[in-house]
Amino acid sequence: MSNKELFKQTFSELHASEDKVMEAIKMKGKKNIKHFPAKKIIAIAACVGTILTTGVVANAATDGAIMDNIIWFVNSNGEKTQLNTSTEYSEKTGEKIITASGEDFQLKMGEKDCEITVDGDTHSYGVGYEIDSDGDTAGEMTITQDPDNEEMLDGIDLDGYTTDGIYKAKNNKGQDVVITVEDNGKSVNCKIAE
Amino acid sequence: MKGLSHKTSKKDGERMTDEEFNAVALKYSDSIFRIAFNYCKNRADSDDVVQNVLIKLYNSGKNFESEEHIRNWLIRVAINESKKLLISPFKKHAVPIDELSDKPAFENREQSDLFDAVMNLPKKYRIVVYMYYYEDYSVNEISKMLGANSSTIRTQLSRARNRLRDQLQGVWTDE
Repeated sequence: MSNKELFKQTFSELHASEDKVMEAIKMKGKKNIKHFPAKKIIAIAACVGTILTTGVVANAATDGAIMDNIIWFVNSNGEKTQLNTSTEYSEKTGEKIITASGEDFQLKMGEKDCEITVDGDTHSYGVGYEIDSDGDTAGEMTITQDPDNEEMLDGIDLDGYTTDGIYKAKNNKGQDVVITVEDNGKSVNCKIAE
Repeated sequence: MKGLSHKTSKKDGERMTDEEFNAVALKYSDSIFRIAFNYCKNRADSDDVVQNVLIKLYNSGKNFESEEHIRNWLIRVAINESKKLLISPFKKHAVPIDELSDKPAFENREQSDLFDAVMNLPKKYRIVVYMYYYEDYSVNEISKMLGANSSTIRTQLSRARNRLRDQLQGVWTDE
């Protein structure tokens, strides 16, 4: 039997609960998914850190390692602001701190949810930051508007909050980064420009 | 599947009919569940993800162009919902698979060992391996869905295979 056949045979044993599926079918249309108020200043996307594309590796064991990220914000006037951020990990304190070079922006994250201040307005966000001992995908960042019940804004599903297109930016190594937003903002990819 | 096997005449914002929704829910609920299980490693959370994804589907008002379009959309939303659930303050702690009673009762040892080995992989490997070996997505397709570089996915897949081969000697073969 091939690996693929064995894999399919194995995982086909997992099934969703019929009761739960029927429950979802019955309650369709009764639950409104919250959408972020348009007038608020919102975080558009926390692109999967450019670390993923540079091939640079930082992991939890790399005390004080600095990783680059690009975070896009759009304000109520539809103006985009790109913030180059750096992330510092301290194994000793267990703290992960993300700071941005942009104006009035500071994001600090430990194990808790964080607050982001943009243009004087503070908003609460839940931030997940994965650091694996393997290192090669360290730096995946997800941001939720509200840790409990709002849409997640991340590098994959931006839920239409941004405009498709190709954006250029520099990371703090001075490399050109090309950010491609496609599929009505649902797909965001960061690549070091060739 | 009625109404979704070809480009529909619906516009974005127009909800699918109840009949269409029910058909999609029944057809894809297991796929959504498996994606979620690869993240959450337990049935209760995975079932919650299934419900959230289905409700999002119904409320999305998306105009799906094909079966493939709806499948890709559901898997992407399932990934996002699973991640969202995992980063909630109540889900920060991980539960080792051997402490779970949610493992299916496999008929043969090979399946059981493979399941354990996959569940013991780091999460980032689990989802890539699952999408490649079960859902038959290519590396490029996975990279688009996960928003990662294809070279990163290729590396993850390769490392996952090595781990599975090491853990499952004689079961997981070199390809």
